[in-house]
Amino acid sequence: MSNLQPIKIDSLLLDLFQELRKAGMALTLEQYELLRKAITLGYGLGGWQDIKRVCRLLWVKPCPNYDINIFDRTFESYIQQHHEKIPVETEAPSTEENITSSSSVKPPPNLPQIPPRKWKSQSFQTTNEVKVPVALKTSSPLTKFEDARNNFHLNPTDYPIKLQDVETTWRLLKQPVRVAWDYELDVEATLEKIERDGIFTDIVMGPVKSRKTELLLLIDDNSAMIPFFPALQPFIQAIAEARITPARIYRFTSYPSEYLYDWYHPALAQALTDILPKLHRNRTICLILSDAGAATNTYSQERIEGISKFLAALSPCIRQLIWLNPLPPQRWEQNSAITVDAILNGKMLTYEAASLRTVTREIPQENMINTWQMYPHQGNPTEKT
Amino acid sequence: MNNNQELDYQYTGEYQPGNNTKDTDGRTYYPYLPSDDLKSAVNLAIALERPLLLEGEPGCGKTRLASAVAYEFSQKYLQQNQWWDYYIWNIKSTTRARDGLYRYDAVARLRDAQLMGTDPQRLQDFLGIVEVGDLKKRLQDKKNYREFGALGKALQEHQYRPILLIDEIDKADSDFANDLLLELEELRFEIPETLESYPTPQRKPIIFITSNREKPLPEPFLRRCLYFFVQYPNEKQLKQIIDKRFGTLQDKEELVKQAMNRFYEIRSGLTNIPGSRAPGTSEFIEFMTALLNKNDVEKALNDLHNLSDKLPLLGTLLKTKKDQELYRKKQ
Repeated sequence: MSNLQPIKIDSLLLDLFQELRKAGMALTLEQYELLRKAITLGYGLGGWQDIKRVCRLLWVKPCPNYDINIFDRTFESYIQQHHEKIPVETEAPSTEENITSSSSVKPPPNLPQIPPRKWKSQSFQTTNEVKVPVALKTSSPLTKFEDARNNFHLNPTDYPIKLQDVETTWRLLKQPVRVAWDYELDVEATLEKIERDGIFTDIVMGPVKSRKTELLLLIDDNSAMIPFFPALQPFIQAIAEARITPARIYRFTSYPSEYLYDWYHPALAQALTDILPKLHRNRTICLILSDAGAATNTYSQERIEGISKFLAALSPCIRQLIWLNPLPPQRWEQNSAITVDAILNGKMLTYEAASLRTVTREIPQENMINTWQMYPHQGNPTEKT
Repeated sequence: MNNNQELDYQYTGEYQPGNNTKDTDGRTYYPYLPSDDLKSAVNLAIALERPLLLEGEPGCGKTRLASAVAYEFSQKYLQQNQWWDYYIWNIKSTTRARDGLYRYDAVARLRDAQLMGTDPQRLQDFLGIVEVGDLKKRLQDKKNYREFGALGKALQEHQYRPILLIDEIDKADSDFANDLLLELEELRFEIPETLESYPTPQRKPIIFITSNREKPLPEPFLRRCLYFFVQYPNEKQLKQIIDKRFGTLQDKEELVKQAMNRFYEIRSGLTNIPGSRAPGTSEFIEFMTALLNKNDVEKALNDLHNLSDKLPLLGTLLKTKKDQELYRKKQ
């Protein structure tokens, strides 16, 4: 029995590994190798609970791809299906389960009650050969169930921008910028100066590199935007989970007039005159998520004027302005979106991951907006960047 | 030397330091009672040569674990009064990954070079002959200007596998953990300034990393670590911790019991209240110290009874005015 054990455990573990991957854990081959190594070193041989402990240590991490709930659920149901398969020598509870009739096997509380299956008592006697039929029997009803649901199930992974993209973009946007508030010794510049002058006269001080960046997220909540809200979730989630800090979310309807409204408490108004002075020219990045009238295909002079007024007030206060439109550019024609795009110097982007990459390559504060050209009678005709 | 290979590096939690145990660096060691799960996590991390990432609520003993392992190993494998190589790297918000490996003092080298270039006679008058000699010697080798950090020290060859604690990794910038990937994966590093390179040591360090979950850690980093969530000790374990820490307290048995009841009452009252933080083990130990310092048991019991009026005592457990008021209201 004991010389059979490693082989059996190996195939079981591979099976388990596949099962967990199927359930949504992003396990890699390397992590499987790690488990194999742990087993060869003698860990996890004390029965199911011991294996579970080792697997949990190796595979569960505090992030959604290695979630403990998925792990626990999948593992428990796996043990339920296969608990006779492993030669358990020491563990009392599982042998007890074997002796008592199969109906008394108690499922974990978070699983629906499954009626006892006949094959359990069969496989109890012959431990080796039943493996393949077992896997077939259990998986087929499950997939059928899923198929039926797929017809009306919206899969959140289909959205164009994922949490991962948001995080990566934020990291790139956070690149260090030299800010002239604080000075530090610039060794490289000093060395260069010595080389140039041939003698060391004085050190060179340079502004401290800082990577303080803050996000101001503005979401348009007019009724045409509401269907897009689930797709905007990665941004909101990233802020809620402190993956982007510091950050603030506000909402506005069609265009921000004098107030912006708190995202979570729409009744809470904050005056623009309060918000704008707190932004920072070298740090704040403003991200606006709005269709600019493209969803309803309306052309509204009021909206365009409102937006251009707001942007004219906002742009001197921030480092970078990003506008993502959830509708494709073809839909911007013939409505206010095309005009807003022109105000933005043609920098309005579609809501997709590629746009985020474009944004990270952009040089901030370069021709951010174009109001005075669009409306010379309205904007300030003198130089303004 | 030859018995080094035989070390099995097993952590059992059976060796506990007595009162006021200090090593040669003046670090104090305290008793530590690990759960079985934690012990097997430690041993697995040691065997697989992977860092062990510890998370858990504040005050549940994440940081103390590394010193407990270091203590046990020095007791088990070393002769008396020898201490295990144990490095601590405390992370701050400004810490960069390279700081843990080494620092190179280019400015000092520049200054020395400039000094050497001035008039030798005046330099000697100014600095004295010994200092000038030192300066010359220092300037001859670039290596004199680099200083190793905790990680850099731990990645060099040792007689035994050293222990490294990277404390509160989530305090650092979000790129910090990603910058450490190579060093943690291959356990080697290079110093471009002196053209030195340190290959993977034969005896790899045992690495513990703690995090308070203030910031999420990047996935590639998590993949390289074993992960363990340290559970808060239950009542029985807490009692054991108190017994170990304060020794036998026969006449104060009742006081300890009452204090624990109070403590759990406060804890359960504060869990799941947003913005409040339930006190942890370290707070409870402070609380117990304050209580036991009173020689009169009767008086201490009395204080415990009227805890909501005894502000200094309550302050050891509840650290904000809001929490204290919340507690008082419940009374």
